[in-house]
Amino acid sequence: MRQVWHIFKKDVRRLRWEAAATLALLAWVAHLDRWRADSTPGAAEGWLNVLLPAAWAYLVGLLVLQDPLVGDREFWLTLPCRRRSLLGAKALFVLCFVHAPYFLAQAGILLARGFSPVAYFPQLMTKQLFLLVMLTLPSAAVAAMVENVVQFALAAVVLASAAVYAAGMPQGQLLTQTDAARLDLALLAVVVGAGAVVPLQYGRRRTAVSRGIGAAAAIAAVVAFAGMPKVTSAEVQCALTPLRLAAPASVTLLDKVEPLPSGFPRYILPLTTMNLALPMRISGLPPADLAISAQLSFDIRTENGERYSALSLPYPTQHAKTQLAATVWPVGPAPAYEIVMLDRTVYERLKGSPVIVEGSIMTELHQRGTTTRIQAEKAGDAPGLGKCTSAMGDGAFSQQGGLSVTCESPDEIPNPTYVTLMAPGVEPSRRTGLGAYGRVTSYPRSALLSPLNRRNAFIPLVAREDWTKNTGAFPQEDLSGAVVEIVPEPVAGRAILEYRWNGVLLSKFVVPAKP
Amino acid sequence: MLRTQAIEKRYGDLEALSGLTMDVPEGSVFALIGPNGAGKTTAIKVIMNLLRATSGHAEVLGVDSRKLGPEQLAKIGYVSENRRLPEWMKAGEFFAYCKGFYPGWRDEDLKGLARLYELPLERPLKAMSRGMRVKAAMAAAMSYRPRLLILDEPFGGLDVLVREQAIESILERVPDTTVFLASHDLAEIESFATHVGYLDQGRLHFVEEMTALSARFREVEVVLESEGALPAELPAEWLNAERTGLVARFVHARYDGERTEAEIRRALPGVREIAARGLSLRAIFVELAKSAKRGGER
Repeated sequence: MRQVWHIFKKDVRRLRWEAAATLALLAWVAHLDRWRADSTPGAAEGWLNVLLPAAWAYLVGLLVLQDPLVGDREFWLTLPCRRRSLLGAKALFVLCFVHAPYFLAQAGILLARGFSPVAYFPQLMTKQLFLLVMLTLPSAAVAAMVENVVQFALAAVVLASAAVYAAGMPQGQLLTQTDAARLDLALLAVVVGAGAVVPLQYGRRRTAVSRGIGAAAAIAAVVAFAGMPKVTSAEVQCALTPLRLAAPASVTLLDKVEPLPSGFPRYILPLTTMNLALPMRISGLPPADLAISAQLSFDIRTENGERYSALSLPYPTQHAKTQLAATVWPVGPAPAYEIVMLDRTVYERLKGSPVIVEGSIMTELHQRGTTTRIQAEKAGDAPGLGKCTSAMGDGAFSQQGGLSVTCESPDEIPNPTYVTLMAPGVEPSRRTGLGAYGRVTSYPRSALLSPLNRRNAFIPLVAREDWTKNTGAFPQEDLSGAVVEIVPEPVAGRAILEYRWNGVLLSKFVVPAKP
Repeated sequence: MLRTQAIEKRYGDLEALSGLTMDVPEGSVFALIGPNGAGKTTAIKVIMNLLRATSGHAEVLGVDSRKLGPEQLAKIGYVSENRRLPEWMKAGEFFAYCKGFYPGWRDEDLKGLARLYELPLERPLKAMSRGMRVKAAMAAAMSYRPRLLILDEPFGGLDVLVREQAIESILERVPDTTVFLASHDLAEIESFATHVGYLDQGRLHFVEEMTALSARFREVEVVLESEGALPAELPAEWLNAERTGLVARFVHARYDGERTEAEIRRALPGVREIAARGLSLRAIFVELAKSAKRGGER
């Protein structure tokens, strides 16, 4: 312990200004966070949410590189210094100048915004774990494998670029929360790699082996995030939050083709693409307040072995040039159609004879949580949501004069959570989703460092004489007696539904041109 | 005290050390000499467990060097001109930091050494000359009276006076310490080395006590009765033999008085006169280096 303290004091003396700079940034971001009511941070806070993690990563890199583990010319290598003590001193520094200040800042923010840090201690520790896994441990691991700060900076840029590139790949895009498992698995690869490298380097200084582990972990993380098939990611997610089914649910193709409903989406497609709508029914699912479905796979096979696989993305028009795309509609509560975009030449080849259609859908059931009602323009506690406020404000897309509803909680806020503004004599009530309005910003809008999850909803107000039932707004004169009803819809479980339809004659399901 | 056994170190196809076996006796001042790139620093790094040998091993203070721990390192002083010191520290801070790791640290020894070396304690190491930094490292390494002092080209940046001062301080202040020194500058070690090992291209050509080495290397001048060329085949111990007119000159690597004279008379017909004189360590090294080069060219 004496050596730990001795090395720690040396590092503090050396890095006091750098550490002070990160503390100043932390104090600044905490101050902005403490006074923020909106879900979208301001420009300064947005940038600080990028800058502070970068500064912390740099500080951790500098710290490790005070006593570099790579090379054979370093002074400390021939000191009678226990490697455990060296690692202990570095850990103590990170604890004192990164994790503890972050913990205190978060606890302070919670306290200032009316939450008890003691009651939310597990959530605060989860944030600490997140910081460790996402930042301090990987930074320490990278620094443990390089010789100097320049190499550290280069490695950091390469890894950050790889992360950005992976996030930009089609499979890496987190389009729904049901696909979040890929991020968890990528982080798992990072933490396993970094967790192996740091003790290995401090214990035995096996740089070549460590670099191999580091590279393997980085590749595994990128592959897990960007390369993992959507079906696999969904399977992991379903295993984590399984849906208990008494009997297997089924997805059947309806033979009877009826006129398409009025809200049916008619995409503007190139002339080379055919639009089909296959009516379907899902049965066997337990009753739920809400079901949200997402297409995982969709294949068309012919008797003679031809096979076409779809890109099953929610926005098929973006992939109109592809041979086949498919998605379910509506996404919730119960999909009624499989919307298919098929290359016209392929369609011409297949239309004459029956084909086999195979696919899989992930369905997420939500159960209604506790309903909270607060007076318009007032604040109140909302069970399962933390604290909610409603106040006059502006909308995300420059709408002026509306009711802005914000909920904040150290817990995850369920998605969806519905907000309904109701008043006697105003029918229908105005309903929207929390988080449905995210302000467009020209700066980073993520507030990952915040201990609070915040979500906003915005309901435009209009003068009563301008109000009609279909404007989507709410009459301003009725606001004084209005009530805001907030209903969270937490996930009850997820299941993958697979189906196979034989003898499908595609020509029966062509979407007619809009009359 | 320090022993190496068949150490090999390869970097791909390059063989930096080849079967290095030597024994450094306790209390000796052992100089490992050789030209630049001979493998001296590599050998020291293997001994200090800074590098892993491809095969073979070293034993330091009775412990396999791969298992050198704080207990052994507390008894070893290591000074190298290539070592990266924490240059942001002032000299005084540097000593205070080192002190925290060595139970045997003596402040009075440090004070004496700092005074002797005229070290400015308030000056950051980065603001010091290379020679001054080496002196600071030496002061730190001697302040805990190590049992083994390993010096890798320590005097390279020092002027002659300071070098002499440093050598004297080693002999006076840590007289019981075994010194293992690597250098290509023979003048700096001739005055105080008790043993010498000659390393070239990763191979240890000999290890010997200085007195024995000085005794066996002789520059020999032979006056012959008639002119002519030297025989094509000469004994291997005759280094850099050449003939100018009636005089043949060479360095004999195993000079042994009358026996060597008899050998000369057998090899060279018509010997009129033989004269032999001693060589400085530097001259021995130069002759060995020349001989190795000629061998390589042949």
